[in-house]
This record gives sequence, C-alpha cells and structure tokens, in this order.
Amino acid sequence: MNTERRNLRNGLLFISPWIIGFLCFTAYPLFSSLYYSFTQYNLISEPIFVGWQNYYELLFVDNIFYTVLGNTLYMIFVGLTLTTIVTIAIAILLNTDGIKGMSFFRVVFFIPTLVPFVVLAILWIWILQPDSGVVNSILAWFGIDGPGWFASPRWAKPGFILMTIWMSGNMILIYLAALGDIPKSLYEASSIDGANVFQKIIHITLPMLRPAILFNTITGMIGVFQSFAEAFIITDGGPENATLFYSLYLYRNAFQYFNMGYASAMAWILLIIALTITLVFFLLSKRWE
Amino acid sequence: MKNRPLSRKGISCLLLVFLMLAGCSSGSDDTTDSTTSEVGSNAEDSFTYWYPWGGDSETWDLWRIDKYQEETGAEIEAVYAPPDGGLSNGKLLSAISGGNPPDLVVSNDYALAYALAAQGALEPIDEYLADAGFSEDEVLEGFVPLMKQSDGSTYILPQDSNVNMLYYNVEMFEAAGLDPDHPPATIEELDEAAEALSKVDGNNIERLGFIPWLDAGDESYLWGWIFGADFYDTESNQVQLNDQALVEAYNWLDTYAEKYDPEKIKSFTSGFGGAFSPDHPFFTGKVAMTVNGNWFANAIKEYAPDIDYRVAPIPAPEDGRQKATTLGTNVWMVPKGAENPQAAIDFALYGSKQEILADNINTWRAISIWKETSDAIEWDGDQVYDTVLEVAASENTGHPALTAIAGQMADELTALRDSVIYNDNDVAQLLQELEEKMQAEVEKQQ
Repeated sequence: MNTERRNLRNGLLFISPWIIGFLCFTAYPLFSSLYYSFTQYNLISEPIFVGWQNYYELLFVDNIFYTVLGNTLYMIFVGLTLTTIVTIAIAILLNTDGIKGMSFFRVVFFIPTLVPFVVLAILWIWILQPDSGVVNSILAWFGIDGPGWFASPRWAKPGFILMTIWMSGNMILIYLAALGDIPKSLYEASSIDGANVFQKIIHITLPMLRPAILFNTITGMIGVFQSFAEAFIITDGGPENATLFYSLYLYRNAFQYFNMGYASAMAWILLIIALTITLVFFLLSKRWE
Repeated sequence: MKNRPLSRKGISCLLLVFLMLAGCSSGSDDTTDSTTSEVGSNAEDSFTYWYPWGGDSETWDLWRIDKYQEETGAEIEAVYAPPDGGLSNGKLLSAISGGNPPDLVVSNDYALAYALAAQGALEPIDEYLADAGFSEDEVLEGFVPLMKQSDGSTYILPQDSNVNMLYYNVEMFEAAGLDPDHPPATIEELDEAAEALSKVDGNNIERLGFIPWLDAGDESYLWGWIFGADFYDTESNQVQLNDQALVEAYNWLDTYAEKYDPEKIKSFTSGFGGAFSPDHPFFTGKVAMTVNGNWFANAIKEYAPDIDYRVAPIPAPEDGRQKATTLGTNVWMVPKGAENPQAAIDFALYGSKQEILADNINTWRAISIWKETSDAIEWDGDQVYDTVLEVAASENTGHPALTAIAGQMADELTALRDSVIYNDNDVAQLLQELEEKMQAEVEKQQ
C-alpha cells in the first residue's frame, strides 16, 4: 500500500511538468474561451457578458458565417474525398512489388510535405498562374483554355484541393504502411479464385485499409478546419469570399475586428461541428465492418 | 536500504526542478527581434519602439534612431514588428493585454491605429505633446480628424503621408491620339481614354487602358471616396453605405467587368508583379494608366527608368471629389500601459521633423504633415511632386471611414465589390444590407 502510494506520488511528480503545462496552457485557455464566447470582449476592456448573443448572431444573423462554413465543408467533402482517392491510388501504385527505383518514388511523393506552408503557398501561386503557370501551360498544349484558378471564385477552391493533394505525402506514407500489413495470402487466395486487380482492390485492399482511411480522414478533416496559412497568403479569402475558410474568418474576428468573444464562439461551434463529423465517420466506419 | 526511497525522492525532485527550469527558460527568453543589444531600463530617456518596415526603410529608420540616441543620449530598444507594427496580426493587442506593450509604435495602417484608439487600446498623448512643445495649429488640417477621438483627446500623431494619383504612359497616349497635356479629369474622359488605349483581340487581352481595381484602385475606400461617399459620420456614429455616390461607384466598376469579363481581367492581372518588380504591368506596357501612390514614381525610376510617364489627380465624376485622394498616412501611437510615454512622444516629434524626414521625402515624394515647408525638401519643379502637393492640399483629400470598424468594413466592401463585378448583383440592395450589418457592429462596440 505504502509502495503503491509512493509510486503514485512519484509518478505524479514526474508528469507534473506536463500536468502544470496542460492546466495552464491548454485547460485554462480552453475554458476561458468558453467563458469569453458568452461575452463581448476586445482584449482591452473588461468582457461584457452577453449570454447567447454571439452564438445567435453567428447562426442566424451573420451571412458570411455560412459562406465560410460552406467553403470549409466543401474542402472536407469534395477536397478530402478526392485527396483520399488519389492518395490511396498512389499508395497502391507505390506498393507494387518488383519495380526498380520504387523507394525513389516514395521519397519523391513525400518531399512536398517537408516544404514549409509559406514557401508552398508562394510556389502554388506560380504553378496555378492563369497566364503563364505550369498547369495552364500544359492544358494549353491540349487546346484547353485553363481556368483562372485563384483568380476565379469558381476555381479557387479546386486550386486549393490540387495543392492539398500535392502535399499529402503523409497520408500516402500511412496508407503504404497499412498496405504492408495486409497479408499476402489474401491476394493469393483471391488470385486462385480468379479475381482481377479491381476486384482485389475493392474486396481486399480497401476493407483492410479501413482503419488507416478512418485515421487519415479524421486528421485530414481537423487539418482542413485549421487550415489558415495557404488562404491567408494566396488569396486572403477572395475572390468574393470564395476562399474565406473557417480559421481565417475566426482570425479576422479575433485580431482584426477586435471581436474576441465572437471568435471564441466560432471556435466552440467549430469544436461541435468537428466532433459531430468525427462521430459520424466512426459510426459509418463501424457500419462498414 | 534506508536511503533508497529518499534518494529516489531526491532524484525525482531534482528532475522536476530541472524540467520546470527548462520549461520556464524557454518562455522567458523573449529578445527575438531586438536590434539593439541594450535592453531599456526604467531610465527616463529609454523606451521600446516597434517599427514595421524592412529593407531601405528599415536602414533609414535605424539611422534616425542612432541619430536621436547620439543627440539626446536616449536609449531606444528598436524592434522590427511586421506587418504594420503588429496592428493587424494581434501582436500589439496581445502585448497590450499582456501588460507588456512597447512605449511607441509607428505603423503604416492609420485606419487600424484609429480603431485601436477607439477600442481604448492607446494612451491619450495630449499632455506629452504639450510638454514637448507641440502645437496642433502647425499641422495641416487634413490630418487633425485622424489624431482625435470623439472624447476630444489626441491618440495618434501622424509621421508623414502618401497620396494616390493617376499615372499615365505618354507614348501610349500619343500613339492612341490622346493629348498627354490633357489627361482625363472626369470619369467619362477616363473611360474614353481607357477604351482608346486598350488592345483587345477577341478573347486575347494584349493591353488594357485602365483597370479600376489595380494597384491603389483595389483599396476598399478609394473609389467610393472619389465618387463622393463618406462611409461613416463620426459626429452621429452613423454608417453611410446606402449612398448614391457608392452605388454609382460600384456600377461604374461593373462596366469594366461587363466589358472585359472580370475573370479575364483577374487572370490578365494575376500574372503581374508588384510595384517593386520589373513585371508590374505599367512597366511592361500591359496597362497604360494606373492609380498608385507617390512612391510609385521611385519604383518606376528603379525598374523602368525609360518609361515616359506623367501623373494627374485621380479623375472624378462631376458631383464627386475633384483632385482628391485617400491619404496613406504613417502614424505614431503610444499603447495603453506604456512605461515611458513622454520619451516616446519626444522621439516621435523628432522623427516627424521635415529635416529628419527629408531623405525619406526626397526619395519617395511623401508629404510632410506640417503646414510650413522646409528647404530640406528638394522637389522644386518636379511634375510628380507638384501634383502630389496639389492633391495633398485639396480640401477633398482625407482619411475615410474613421471608425473602430474600418478594417471589417474594408473587408466587407471588397467582398461586395467582387459580388458586383463577378455576379452582377444589385448594388443598392447589397449596400443597404451591409449598412445595417455595419451599423449593428458600431452599436455593439459602443
């Protein structure tokens, strides 16, 4: 008993720096933001308690809020879906046995994730330049008049999706690891049964990748909700608010419009949305089992 | 045996202490951008100063700091705080609310500085200005409204200012049969010149005479101000967006969108470099006219010295503001909680002297805030500077939308403009909706 208590005390002492750090720098700000979300607060004057007013305004008055939410959900449901399909396809290709130089290609697909966001953003401004960018120049070879990308309210978000796919080496890496875990015997058995490549992918690879897909989708979704730097640098939310994403609007409210209370309410709504979508993904994933 | 638990305890305590020290030390080391090694003490003549500029402007400001330190023996801890002195990214606000603000900030964003003052984040500086022998009567009238808040106190001291003008390419004017001695003065003349100067072949844009939302034309308040809108009435605290002048301004912008397709224009312009790159469309001949600041003349000198250009006041409609501009004023401010405001204001006044600013003005053609001019300014007979002075002295020139919500309103107006030019939405209705929304924001903040 004595030893157990001592171990407990020592254990707590050992992790106390983390506990103190967590309480001061995570728990306290978290609950402060919950309190501030019910106030009107500009960081300078004393917060004024306003009840549910910030939430009411966000949900029922602020028309930009729904534009922002729509933009972000578009990036999740369209962007993340496309990213998932492409990264799985690339991972399957990179997992093919017996091709020379495969490790080189694996590195190539991972390299973009090492580039800092700011550099990446500036690079993609050039890649998607409507006049002289690489993408539109290639499209022009095939006689296609490329879109305005970041200059167009319709094409700006697809531009961001292209960029996201390009920098999703982390996802590919996780899929590659998961692919390596699939027992070869399953493929051998299906070959004997006469399954073709697509049947193998649909009936063996994808079901076996399910935990990795779930993990990548949830972390990817959280990443989309938090994405800020790219839109801040490339488009600053424009044109016509087409790339004004959730975090960018939250930042503007907090630091440029002096509405810290309003921004805190946005953060809590974001938490609830992210939590709900995560739960839905978990439920869907269970159903798929 | 007896000692073992104790030594274990000792080790864990020691580890704990080390870990905590490690944790604390990374947090307290906060001397990142400091350009002078000596940290200011509480001495009367030492203070902390944030400035936003890099490059040549930084070199110049460091020269100003050194000169002041040499002359007065003051100790200035100068910190590079981009962008705009930490006003737009929350850095200054965090420093103020954290109780550790600088004593003095200089910023290129006067609107946000005004908003900060309205939010109560700045110190009133009347008594420090008075102690330093400053008299408001010496300042050009156009700057006074910016300095004060509705409580009558002064919160902002302008350093110097910039104006916007129409730059036009003389050779292109002549080739198009236009008279470079009579640049467009009205919106109709501007449209006619733009039409004559444009070279558009079906889908292919070779050159546009004028793009209203290029360069300074992209600023949210410029065209509305030129057309005669006030945006905000500081006396009655009323947002004034549902204004015929604004309706006309946005409808006029839309005529360019309709004529050339806004996405095509945006695609055409997105390949352009900034004002400080050789790819700026005015340098490469892709646009024949553009609205930009006085400093653009120096960019031309640097990147396209062979261009034959002149400047003129921004064309305005007959019932709009003639020979007007919105001012781009650099401002000083003392954040709330500053430890040494008097030393800060002494330096700000010194740094705003024309003799000190002369190098700056003689490079960038900026304007001084003082009524009395100085011999140190060397732009006699310069066509650009004559126009700069003419526009700056105009009673129609000013700082629009002096309100705590200027930043938010600017973002909203940009989105509104995009909505008009991309989707042809009804301007009056959008302005009415935005006016109501902004008015609610104003009332919320009072």
